[in-house]
Amino acid sequence: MSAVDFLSSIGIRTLLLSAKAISQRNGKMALLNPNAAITNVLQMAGIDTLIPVCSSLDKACEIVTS
Amino acid sequence: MLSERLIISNDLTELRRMSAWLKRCCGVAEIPDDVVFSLDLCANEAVTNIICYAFDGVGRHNIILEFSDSVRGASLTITDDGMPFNMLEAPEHKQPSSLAEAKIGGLGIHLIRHLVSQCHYQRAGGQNVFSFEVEHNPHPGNA
Repeated sequence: MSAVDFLSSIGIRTLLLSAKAISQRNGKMALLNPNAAITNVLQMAGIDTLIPVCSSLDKACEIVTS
Repeated sequence: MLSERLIISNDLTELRRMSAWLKRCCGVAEIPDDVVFSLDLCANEAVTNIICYAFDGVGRHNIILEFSDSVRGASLTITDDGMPFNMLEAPEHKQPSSLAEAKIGGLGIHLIRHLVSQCHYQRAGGQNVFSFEVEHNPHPGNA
């Protein structure tokens, strides 16, 4: 997500719908490398407690394959 | 002090024009990037709510935006002639304990509440008038 420079509730809705759909197929979704402003929005919305936010690809792969 | 005004229509494609105008105003007023981001996000949330829920039918309506800056930050007043709605009376968002429990939607007002330092609503002359202010962060490291 490093190239994402804006995130509103419409975008958060898309993230949640995607994560739910993946979860229903027994998969996992992680968010990789959001910038500081986007991380702040994710935290304010409590999304970081529902979808893991990672700063490295290795960590993200570890989470989704665990 | 800078004071600018923009009128957009009740069409979601207008959000892009609104954001560009807001960023131009903030640029002229030399508003810091973090305040611009918060102001733009709150404006997007509030105006999206108005466009999606304030009007019956498909008629064209004007939404009036008024920007002003101050030593404390920047403020925006949004006026629409839709049905009465005070978002400040909306119930607080409840944080779900799991992804499965998470409901889709309802986060826009929650984000506005977090980001603004002051906000005010009034119904006047058959119009909703919603104003909010975003202050400069005195502790940038705590953004």
